[in-house]
Amino acid sequence: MQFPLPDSYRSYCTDTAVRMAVDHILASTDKKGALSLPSDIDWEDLAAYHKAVLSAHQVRSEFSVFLIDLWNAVWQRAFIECGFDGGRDDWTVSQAEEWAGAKLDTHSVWDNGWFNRVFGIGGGNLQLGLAVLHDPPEGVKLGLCLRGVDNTDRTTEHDFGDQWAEPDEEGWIYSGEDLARIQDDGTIDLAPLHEAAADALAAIGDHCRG
Amino acid sequence: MAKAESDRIAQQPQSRGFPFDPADLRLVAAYCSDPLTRAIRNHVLGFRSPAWSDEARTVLARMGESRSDAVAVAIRRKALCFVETPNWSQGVLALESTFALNRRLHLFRSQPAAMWTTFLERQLTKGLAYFLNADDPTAQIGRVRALLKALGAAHLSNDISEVTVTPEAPTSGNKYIDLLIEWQDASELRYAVAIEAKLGHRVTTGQLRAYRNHLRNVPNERRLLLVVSPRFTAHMDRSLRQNPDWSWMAWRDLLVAHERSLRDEDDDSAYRQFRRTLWDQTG
Repeated sequence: MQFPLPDSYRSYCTDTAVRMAVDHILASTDKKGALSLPSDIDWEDLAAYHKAVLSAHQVRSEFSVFLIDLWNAVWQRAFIECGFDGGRDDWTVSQAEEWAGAKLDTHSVWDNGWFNRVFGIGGGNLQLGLAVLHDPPEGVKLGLCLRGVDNTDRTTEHDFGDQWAEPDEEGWIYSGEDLARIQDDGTIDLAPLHEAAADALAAIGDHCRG
Repeated sequence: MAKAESDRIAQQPQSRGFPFDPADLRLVAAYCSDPLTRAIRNHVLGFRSPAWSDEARTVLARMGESRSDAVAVAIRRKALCFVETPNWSQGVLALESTFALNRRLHLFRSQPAAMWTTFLERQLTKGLAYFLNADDPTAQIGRVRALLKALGAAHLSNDISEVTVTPEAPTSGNKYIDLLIEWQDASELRYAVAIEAKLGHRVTTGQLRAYRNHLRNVPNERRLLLVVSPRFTAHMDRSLRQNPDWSWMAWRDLLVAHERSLRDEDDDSAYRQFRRTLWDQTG
Protein backbone atom coordinates (compact mmCIF):
# COMPACT_ATOMS: atom_id res chain seq x y z
CA MET A 1 0.00 0.00 0.00
CA GLN A 2 1.38 3.36 -1.04
CA PHE A 3 0.86 6.30 1.29
CA PRO A 4 1.17 9.73 -0.40
CA LEU A 5 2.93 12.66 1.22
CA PRO A 6 1.17 16.03 0.99
CA ASP A 7 2.52 17.93 -2.03
CA SER A 8 3.91 20.63 0.21
CA TYR A 9 5.88 18.31 2.48
CA ARG A 10 7.01 16.19 -0.45
CA SER A 11 8.42 19.28 -2.10
CA TYR A 12 10.13 20.18 1.18
CA CYS A 13 11.71 16.74 1.44
CA THR A 14 12.84 16.40 -2.15
CA ASP A 15 13.91 19.93 -3.13
CA THR A 16 16.82 21.30 -1.10
CA ALA A 17 16.19 24.87 -2.20
CA VAL A 18 12.53 24.74 -1.16
CA ARG A 19 13.60 23.23 2.17
CA MET A 20 16.11 26.01 2.86
CA ALA A 21 13.60 28.71 1.88
CA VAL A 22 10.90 27.21 4.11
CA ASP A 23 13.33 26.75 7.01
CA HIS A 24 14.44 30.37 6.66
CA ILE A 25 10.89 31.71 6.68
CA LEU A 26 9.81 29.56 9.62
CA ALA A 27 12.92 30.32 11.66
CA SER A 28 12.46 34.03 10.99
CA THR A 29 8.71 34.32 11.47
CA ASP A 30 8.85 32.35 14.72
CA LYS A 31 10.80 35.31 16.06
CA LYS A 32 8.35 38.17 15.94
CA GLY A 33 9.05 40.58 13.14
CA ALA A 34 12.36 39.00 12.22
CA LEU A 35 11.54 38.15 8.61
CA SER A 36 12.41 41.27 6.68
CA LEU A 37 11.21 42.07 3.22
CA PRO A 38 14.04 41.65 0.73
CA SER A 39 15.53 45.12 0.36
CA ASP A 40 15.07 45.07 -3.41
CA ILE A 41 11.45 43.95 -3.40
CA ASP A 42 9.02 45.93 -5.52
CA TRP A 43 5.25 46.21 -5.44
CA GLU A 44 4.75 43.47 -8.04
CA ASP A 45 6.64 40.95 -5.88
CA LEU A 46 5.00 41.81 -2.58
CA ALA A 47 2.05 39.43 -2.92
CA ALA A 48 4.36 36.56 -3.84
CA TYR A 49 6.41 37.27 -0.70
CA HIS A 50 3.35 36.92 1.50
CA LYS A 51 2.28 33.79 -0.37
CA ALA A 52 5.75 32.39 0.25
CA VAL A 53 5.28 32.96 3.98
CA LEU A 54 1.91 31.22 3.80
CA SER A 55 3.49 28.34 1.89
CA ALA A 56 6.14 27.81 4.54
CA HIS A 57 3.47 27.60 7.21
CA GLN A 58 1.45 25.30 4.97
CA VAL A 59 4.39 22.87 4.87
CA ARG A 60 4.62 22.86 8.66
CA SER A 61 0.88 22.43 9.25
CA GLU A 62 0.49 19.72 6.64
CA PHE A 63 3.41 17.85 8.18
CA SER A 64 1.43 17.47 11.42
CA VAL A 65 -1.60 16.25 9.48
CA PHE A 66 0.63 13.88 7.54
CA LEU A 67 2.00 12.29 10.74
CA ILE A 68 -1.50 11.91 12.21
CA ASP A 69 -2.78 10.29 9.00
CA LEU A 70 0.28 8.07 8.92
CA TRP A 71 -0.21 7.07 12.56
CA ASN A 72 -3.79 6.05 11.77
CA ALA A 73 -2.75 4.19 8.62
CA VAL A 74 -0.16 2.16 10.52
CA TRP A 75 -1.00 1.81 14.21
CA GLN A 76 -4.77 2.10 14.02
CA ARG A 77 -4.82 -0.52 11.31
CA ALA A 78 -2.43 -2.76 13.27
CA PHE A 79 -4.75 -2.60 16.29
CA ILE A 80 -7.66 -3.75 14.16
CA GLU A 81 -5.77 -6.42 12.26
CA CYS A 82 -4.29 -7.88 15.43
CA GLY A 83 -7.72 -8.07 17.00
CA PHE A 84 -6.89 -5.46 19.65
CA ASP A 85 -9.80 -3.23 18.78
CA GLY A 86 -10.97 -3.01 22.37
CA GLY A 87 -9.53 -3.41 25.81
CA ARG A 88 -7.49 -0.27 25.82
CA ASP A 89 -7.91 3.08 27.43
CA ASP A 90 -7.21 5.92 25.00
CA TRP A 91 -5.41 8.71 26.82
CA THR A 92 -6.20 12.33 26.08
CA VAL A 93 -3.95 14.51 23.95
CA SER A 94 -2.61 16.43 26.94
CA GLN A 95 -1.98 13.21 28.89
CA ALA A 96 -0.11 11.76 25.92
CA GLU A 97 1.99 14.93 25.63
CA GLU A 98 2.99 14.78 29.27
CA TRP A 99 3.66 11.04 29.24
CA ALA A 100 5.95 11.17 26.22
CA GLY A 101 7.45 14.56 27.06
CA ALA A 102 6.65 15.78 23.56
CA LYS A 103 4.11 18.49 22.84
CA LEU A 104 1.75 17.88 19.94
CA ASP A 105 1.16 21.44 18.77
CA THR A 106 2.12 22.33 15.20
CA HIS A 107 5.52 23.83 16.09
CA SER A 108 6.54 20.98 18.36
CA VAL A 109 5.49 18.24 15.95
CA TRP A 110 7.51 20.02 13.27
CA ASP A 111 10.55 20.60 15.46
CA ASN A 112 10.57 17.07 16.85
CA GLY A 113 9.35 15.27 13.71
CA TRP A 114 7.25 13.26 16.13
CA PHE A 115 3.61 12.32 16.77
CA ASN A 116 2.48 9.85 19.42
CA ARG A 117 -0.55 8.54 21.23
CA VAL A 118 -0.72 6.70 24.54
CA PHE A 119 -3.00 3.88 25.70
CA GLY A 120 -3.65 2.21 29.01
CA ILE A 121 -3.63 -1.58 28.48
CA GLY A 122 -3.49 -4.77 30.50
CA GLY A 123 -6.41 -3.74 32.63
CA GLY A 124 -4.77 -0.39 33.36
CA ASN A 125 -1.49 -1.87 34.60
CA LEU A 126 0.54 -0.85 31.57
CA GLN A 127 0.95 2.26 29.47
CA LEU A 128 1.68 1.92 25.77
CA GLY A 129 3.08 4.81 23.73
CA LEU A 130 3.00 4.48 19.95
CA ALA A 131 4.68 7.03 17.72
CA VAL A 132 5.52 7.87 14.13
CA LEU A 133 8.60 9.94 13.33
CA HIS A 134 10.07 11.58 10.29
CA ASP A 135 13.29 13.53 10.04
CA PRO A 136 14.35 13.84 6.40
CA PRO A 137 16.42 12.56 4.71
CA GLU A 138 15.85 9.52 6.92
CA GLY A 139 12.86 7.32 6.26
CA VAL A 140 9.73 7.21 8.37
CA LYS A 141 10.19 5.39 11.67
CA LEU A 142 7.81 3.89 14.19
CA GLY A 143 8.30 4.24 17.92
CA LEU A 144 6.96 2.17 20.81
CA CYS A 145 7.32 2.39 24.57
CA LEU A 146 5.77 0.20 27.25
CA ARG A 147 5.79 1.29 30.87
CA GLY A 148 4.28 0.08 34.11
CA VAL A 149 1.99 2.34 36.12
CA ASP A 150 4.96 3.20 38.33
CA ASN A 151 6.76 4.39 35.18
CA THR A 152 9.04 1.37 35.13
CA ASP A 153 10.40 0.17 31.81
CA ARG A 154 8.49 -2.81 30.46
CA THR A 155 9.67 -2.51 26.86
CA THR A 156 12.81 -4.56 27.38
CA GLU A 157 10.81 -7.58 28.53
CA HIS A 158 9.65 -8.25 25.00
CA ASP A 159 11.17 -9.28 21.71
CA PHE A 160 9.68 -7.07 19.01
CA GLY A 161 11.40 -8.63 16.03
CA ASP A 162 14.29 -7.83 13.72
CA GLN A 163 12.86 -4.57 12.45
CA TRP A 164 13.14 -2.91 15.84
CA ALA A 165 16.33 -1.50 17.37
CA GLU A 166 17.41 -1.66 21.01
CA PRO A 167 15.52 0.61 23.46
CA ASP A 168 16.93 4.05 24.18
CA GLU A 169 17.47 5.33 27.72
CA GLU A 170 13.80 6.30 28.06
CA GLY A 171 12.59 2.86 27.02
CA TRP A 172 11.48 3.75 23.47
CA ILE A 173 12.30 1.39 20.65
CA TYR A 174 12.33 2.47 17.02
CA SER A 175 12.04 0.75 13.70
CA GLY A 176 15.01 1.07 11.33
CA GLU A 177 15.34 4.29 9.33
CA ASP A 178 15.55 2.41 6.04
CA LEU A 179 12.24 0.68 6.56
CA ALA A 180 10.10 3.27 4.78
CA ARG A 181 11.89 5.88 2.72
CA ILE A 182 10.14 8.43 0.53
CA GLN A 183 10.00 6.99 -2.97
CA ASP A 184 10.54 8.90 -6.19
CA ASP A 185 6.80 9.18 -6.77
CA GLY A 186 6.36 10.93 -3.40
CA THR A 187 4.79 7.99 -1.61
CA ILE A 188 5.81 5.71 1.23
CA ASP A 189 5.39 1.96 0.99
CA LEU A 190 3.45 1.10 4.13
CA ALA A 191 3.92 -2.68 3.90
CA PRO A 192 7.17 -2.81 5.94
CA LEU A 193 5.67 -0.44 8.54
CA HIS A 194 2.52 -2.56 8.78
CA GLU A 195 4.67 -5.61 9.31
CA ALA A 196 6.79 -3.94 12.00
CA ALA A 197 3.70 -2.60 13.77
CA ALA A 198 1.99 -5.98 13.66
CA ASP A 199 5.12 -7.71 15.02
CA ALA A 200 5.31 -5.20 17.86
CA LEU A 201 1.66 -5.53 18.85
CA ALA A 202 1.87 -9.31 18.59
CA ALA A 203 4.79 -9.24 21.03
CA ILE A 204 2.67 -7.52 23.64
CA GLY A 205 -0.56 -9.16 22.55
CA ASP A 206 -1.41 -10.65 25.93
CA HIS A 207 -1.58 -7.16 27.40
CA CYS A 208 -3.61 -5.72 24.56
CA ARG A 209 -6.57 -8.08 24.52
CA GLY A 210 -9.51 -6.83 26.46
CA MET B 1 -41.59 28.86 6.71
CA ALA B 2 -44.05 29.20 3.86
CA LYS B 3 -43.11 27.40 0.64
CA ALA B 4 -43.41 30.61 -1.36
CA GLU B 5 -40.95 32.30 0.96
CA SER B 6 -38.60 29.34 0.76
CA ASP B 7 -38.77 29.31 -3.04
CA ARG B 8 -38.13 33.02 -3.19
CA ILE B 9 -34.97 32.64 -1.11
CA ALA B 10 -33.78 29.60 -3.03
CA GLN B 11 -33.95 31.26 -6.44
CA GLN B 12 -30.93 30.88 -8.71
CA PRO B 13 -28.34 33.56 -8.00
CA GLN B 14 -28.17 34.84 -11.55
CA SER B 15 -31.83 35.84 -11.37
CA ARG B 16 -31.26 38.03 -8.32
CA GLY B 17 -29.07 41.00 -7.71
CA PHE B 18 -26.16 41.41 -5.33
CA PRO B 19 -25.20 42.04 -2.62
CA PHE B 20 -26.75 39.14 -0.79
CA ASP B 21 -28.94 39.95 2.18
CA PRO B 22 -28.00 37.67 5.07
CA ALA B 23 -31.47 38.14 6.53
CA ASP B 24 -32.75 35.59 4.02
CA LEU B 25 -30.24 33.03 5.14
CA ARG B 26 -31.05 33.60 8.77
CA LEU B 27 -34.71 33.15 7.94
CA VAL B 28 -33.93 29.73 6.50
CA ALA B 29 -31.65 28.92 9.40
CA ALA B 30 -34.41 29.68 11.88
CA TYR B 31 -36.12 26.50 10.74
CA CYS B 32 -33.06 24.27 11.01
CA SER B 33 -31.37 22.82 14.07
CA ASP B 34 -27.99 21.46 13.02
CA PRO B 35 -24.84 23.04 14.50
CA LEU B 36 -24.00 25.02 11.40
CA THR B 37 -27.37 26.65 11.11
CA ARG B 38 -27.40 27.31 14.84
CA ALA B 39 -24.13 29.13 14.31
CA ILE B 40 -25.70 31.11 11.48
CA ARG B 41 -28.72 31.90 13.63
CA ASN B 42 -26.54 33.02 16.51
CA HIS B 43 -24.52 35.26 14.21
CA VAL B 44 -21.38 33.25 14.95
CA LEU B 45 -20.71 32.81 11.27
CA GLY B 46 -20.01 35.97 9.39
CA PHE B 47 -20.94 36.86 5.85
CA ARG B 48 -18.68 38.43 3.33
CA SER B 49 -18.48 38.84 -0.38
CA PRO B 50 -17.09 35.77 -2.07
CA ALA B 51 -14.00 35.87 -4.23
CA TRP B 52 -14.45 32.64 -6.11
CA SER B 53 -13.17 31.75 -9.51
CA ASP B 54 -15.77 31.21 -12.21
CA GLU B 55 -15.01 27.51 -12.14
CA ALA B 56 -15.56 27.30 -8.39
CA ARG B 57 -18.84 29.20 -8.71
CA THR B 58 -20.07 26.81 -11.36
CA VAL B 59 -19.20 23.75 -9.31
CA LEU B 60 -20.73 25.14 -6.14
CA ALA B 61 -23.85 26.31 -7.92
CA ARG B 62 -24.27 22.81 -9.34
CA MET B 63 -23.89 21.34 -5.87
CA GLY B 64 -26.52 23.65 -4.51
CA GLU B 65 -29.06 23.22 -7.31
CA SER B 66 -30.63 20.06 -6.05
CA ARG B 67 -30.67 20.97 -2.39
CA SER B 68 -32.75 23.30 -0.32
CA ASP B 69 -31.12 23.35 3.11
CA ALA B 70 -29.62 26.49 4.53
CA VAL B 71 -26.05 25.72 3.53
CA ALA B 72 -27.06 24.83 -0.02
CA VAL B 73 -28.91 28.11 -0.26
CA ALA B 74 -25.89 29.93 1.05
CA ILE B 75 -23.69 28.19 -1.50
CA ARG B 76 -26.11 28.96 -4.29
CA ARG B 77 -26.34 32.55 -3.23
CA LYS B 78 -22.54 32.79 -2.94
CA ALA B 79 -22.88 34.10 0.57
CA LEU B 80 -20.63 31.58 2.29
CA CYS B 81 -16.92 31.78 1.67
CA PHE B 82 -14.91 28.60 1.91
CA VAL B 83 -11.28 28.49 2.92
CA GLU B 84 -9.68 26.13 0.47
CA THR B 85 -6.44 24.30 1.15
CA PRO B 86 -3.78 26.51 -0.40
CA ASN B 87 -2.73 25.26 -3.78
CA TRP B 88 0.83 24.04 -3.41
CA SER B 89 1.76 24.67 -7.03
CA GLN B 90 1.08 28.35 -6.36
CA GLY B 91 2.90 28.09 -3.05
CA VAL B 92 6.06 26.75 -4.58
CA LEU B 93 5.89 29.42 -7.29
CA ALA B 94 5.76 32.06 -4.58
CA LEU B 95 8.79 30.54 -2.85
CA GLU B 96 10.67 30.42 -6.14
CA SER B 97 9.77 34.01 -6.88
CA THR B 98 10.63 35.37 -3.43
CA PHE B 99 13.94 33.55 -3.14
CA ALA B 100 14.80 33.53 -6.88
CA LEU B 101 15.12 29.75 -6.65
CA ASN B 102 15.09 29.47 -10.43
CA ARG B 103 18.58 30.88 -10.58
CA ARG B 104 20.96 28.21 -11.90
CA LEU B 105 23.63 29.05 -9.33
CA HIS B 106 21.42 29.71 -6.32
CA LEU B 107 23.22 29.24 -3.00
CA PHE B 108 20.37 27.03 -1.74
CA ARG B 109 21.28 24.52 -4.44
CA SER B 110 24.90 24.40 -3.36
CA GLN B 111 26.43 21.71 -1.19
CA PRO B 112 26.53 22.55 2.54
CA ALA B 113 29.67 24.15 3.84
CA ALA B 114 32.42 22.20 5.54
CA MET B 115 31.37 22.59 9.15
CA TRP B 116 34.71 21.70 10.70
CA THR B 117 35.79 25.31 10.47
CA THR B 118 34.10 28.70 10.75
CA PHE B 119 34.94 32.08 9.29
CA LEU B 120 36.44 34.78 11.40
CA GLU B 121 35.10 38.24 10.58
CA ARG B 122 38.34 39.15 8.81
CA GLN B 123 38.24 36.02 6.65
CA LEU B 124 34.64 36.65 5.82
CA THR B 125 35.14 40.18 4.57
CA LYS B 126 38.32 39.29 2.72
CA GLY B 127 36.47 36.42 1.06
CA LEU B 128 33.58 38.63 0.07
CA ALA B 129 35.96 41.24 -1.34
CA TYR B 130 37.82 38.53 -3.26
CA PHE B 131 34.66 37.35 -4.97
CA LEU B 132 33.36 40.85 -5.62
CA ASN B 133 36.67 41.71 -7.27
CA ALA B 134 36.13 39.13 -10.02
CA ASP B 135 38.80 38.98 -12.72
CA ASP B 136 36.19 39.67 -15.38
CA PRO B 137 35.33 43.41 -15.09
CA THR B 138 31.76 42.77 -16.24
CA ALA B 139 31.25 40.17 -13.56
CA GLN B 140 32.86 42.49 -10.99
CA ILE B 141 30.49 45.35 -11.78
CA GLY B 142 27.55 42.92 -11.93
CA ARG B 143 28.33 41.44 -8.53
CA VAL B 144 28.85 44.83 -6.91
CA ARG B 145 25.62 46.18 -8.42
CA ALA B 146 23.74 43.12 -7.13
CA LEU B 147 25.24 43.51 -3.68
CA LEU B 148 24.46 47.24 -3.56
CA LYS B 149 20.89 46.50 -4.55
CA ALA B 150 20.70 43.86 -1.82
CA LEU B 151 22.10 46.32 0.69
CA GLY B 152 19.41 48.82 -0.25
CA ALA B 153 22.05 51.11 -1.78
CA ALA B 154 20.88 50.97 -5.39
CA HIS B 155 19.42 54.45 -5.01
CA LEU B 156 22.87 55.99 -4.53
CA SER B 157 23.87 55.61 -8.16
CA ASN B 158 23.69 52.83 -10.67
CA ASP B 159 26.20 54.66 -12.82
CA ILE B 160 29.19 52.43 -12.05
CA SER B 161 31.87 51.96 -14.64
CA GLU B 162 34.73 51.37 -12.23
CA VAL B 163 34.58 50.29 -8.63
CA THR B 164 37.04 49.66 -5.82
CA VAL B 165 36.29 47.03 -3.22
CA THR B 166 38.66 47.14 -0.25
CA PRO B 167 38.63 44.73 2.66
CA GLU B 168 40.02 46.12 5.90
CA ALA B 169 40.20 49.69 4.63
CA PRO B 170 42.43 51.60 7.09
CA THR B 171 41.07 54.64 8.94
CA SER B 172 42.52 56.77 11.70
CA GLY B 173 43.46 55.29 15.07
CA ASN B 174 44.44 51.84 13.76
CA LYS B 175 40.85 51.05 12.90
CA TYR B 176 39.73 49.30 9.73
CA ILE B 177 36.46 49.36 7.85
CA ASP B 178 35.66 45.71 7.18
CA LEU B 179 34.52 46.29 3.62
CA LEU B 180 34.58 49.56 1.70
CA ILE B 181 33.02 49.87 -1.74
CA GLU B 182 33.81 53.08 -3.60
CA TRP B 183 33.03 54.33 -7.09
CA GLN B 184 32.57 57.48 -9.14
CA ASP B 185 29.79 58.24 -11.56
CA ALA B 186 30.20 59.86 -15.00
CA SER B 187 30.22 63.28 -13.31
CA GLU B 188 33.09 62.10 -11.10
CA LEU B 189 30.96 62.30 -8.00
CA ARG B 190 32.29 59.95 -5.32
CA TYR B 191 30.09 57.29 -3.68
CA ALA B 192 30.91 54.95 -0.77
CA VAL B 193 29.35 52.05 1.06
CA ALA B 194 30.98 50.99 4.32
CA ILE B 195 30.11 47.60 5.77
CA GLU B 196 30.94 46.62 9.32
CA ALA B 197 30.65 42.84 9.23
CA LYS B 198 29.94 41.05 12.49
CA LEU B 199 29.76 37.33 13.11
CA GLY B 200 30.15 36.95 16.85
CA HIS B 201 31.76 40.13 18.09
CA ARG B 202 30.08 43.33 19.20
CA VAL B 203 30.49 46.78 17.74
CA THR B 204 33.14 48.45 19.92
CA THR B 205 33.03 51.95 21.33
CA GLY B 206 34.04 54.61 18.84
CA GLN B 207 34.28 52.18 15.95
CA LEU B 208 31.30 53.40 13.94
CA ARG B 209 32.03 57.07 14.63
CA ALA B 210 35.62 56.65 13.37
CA TYR B 211 34.46 55.04 10.15
CA ARG B 212 31.88 57.74 9.54
CA ASN B 213 34.52 60.40 10.11
CA HIS B 214 36.74 58.65 7.59
CA LEU B 215 33.98 59.13 5.01
CA ARG B 216 33.05 62.66 6.07
CA ASN B 217 33.97 63.99 2.62
CA VAL B 218 31.28 61.84 1.02
CA PRO B 219 27.88 63.53 1.49
CA ASN B 220 25.12 61.60 3.23
CA GLU B 221 23.12 61.18 0.05
CA ARG B 222 26.07 59.47 -1.65
CA ARG B 223 27.05 57.05 1.07
CA LEU B 224 25.64 54.14 3.04
CA LEU B 225 26.95 52.99 6.41
CA LEU B 226 25.77 49.54 7.36
CA VAL B 227 26.41 46.98 10.09
CA VAL B 228 25.71 43.40 9.00
CA SER B 229 25.38 40.74 11.69
CA PRO B 230 23.43 37.53 12.27
CA ARG B 231 20.81 39.16 14.48
CA PHE B 232 19.72 42.46 16.00
CA THR B 233 20.67 42.64 19.67
CA ALA B 234 20.05 45.14 22.43
CA HIS B 235 23.72 46.12 22.21
CA MET B 236 23.35 46.71 18.47
CA ASP B 237 20.28 48.84 19.18
CA ARG B 238 22.28 51.01 21.59
CA SER B 239 25.18 51.33 19.15
CA LEU B 240 22.90 52.46 16.34
CA ARG B 241 21.11 54.97 18.57
CA GLN B 242 24.50 56.51 19.28
CA ASN B 243 25.39 56.42 15.58
CA PRO B 244 22.22 57.35 13.70
CA ASP B 245 24.06 57.53 10.36
CA TRP B 246 24.42 53.76 10.49
CA SER B 247 21.78 51.17 9.72
CA TRP B 248 21.65 47.43 10.22
CA MET B 249 20.93 44.35 8.18
CA ALA B 250 20.89 40.61 8.94
CA TRP B 251 23.37 38.49 7.03
CA ARG B 252 20.69 36.12 5.83
CA ASP B 253 18.43 38.94 4.65
CA LEU B 254 21.39 40.31 2.73
CA LEU B 255 22.10 36.93 1.18
CA VAL B 256 18.44 36.37 0.20
CA ALA B 257 18.31 39.79 -1.46
CA HIS B 258 21.68 39.20 -3.13
CA GLU B 259 20.43 35.96 -4.69
CA ARG B 260 17.45 37.87 -6.06
CA SER B 261 19.57 40.56 -7.67
CA LEU B 262 22.60 38.56 -8.82
CA ARG B 263 22.55 37.40 -12.44
CA ASP B 264 23.75 33.90 -13.27
CA GLU B 265 26.15 35.31 -15.87
CA ASP B 266 27.94 37.29 -13.14
CA ASP B 267 28.10 34.31 -10.79
CA ASP B 268 30.20 31.16 -10.59
CA SER B 269 30.22 27.99 -8.53
CA ALA B 270 33.07 29.13 -6.24
CA TYR B 271 31.24 32.35 -5.33
CA ARG B 272 28.06 30.36 -4.80
CA GLN B 273 29.89 27.97 -2.45
CA PHE B 274 31.25 30.95 -0.52
CA ARG B 275 27.73 32.37 -0.11
CA ARG B 276 26.45 28.99 1.02
CA THR B 277 29.21 28.82 3.63
CA LEU B 278 28.29 32.31 4.73
CA TRP B 279 24.63 31.28 4.96
CA ASP B 280 25.43 28.24 7.06
CA GLN B 281 27.57 30.25 9.45
CA THR B 282 25.28 33.24 9.91
CA GLY B 283 22.07 31.51 11.05
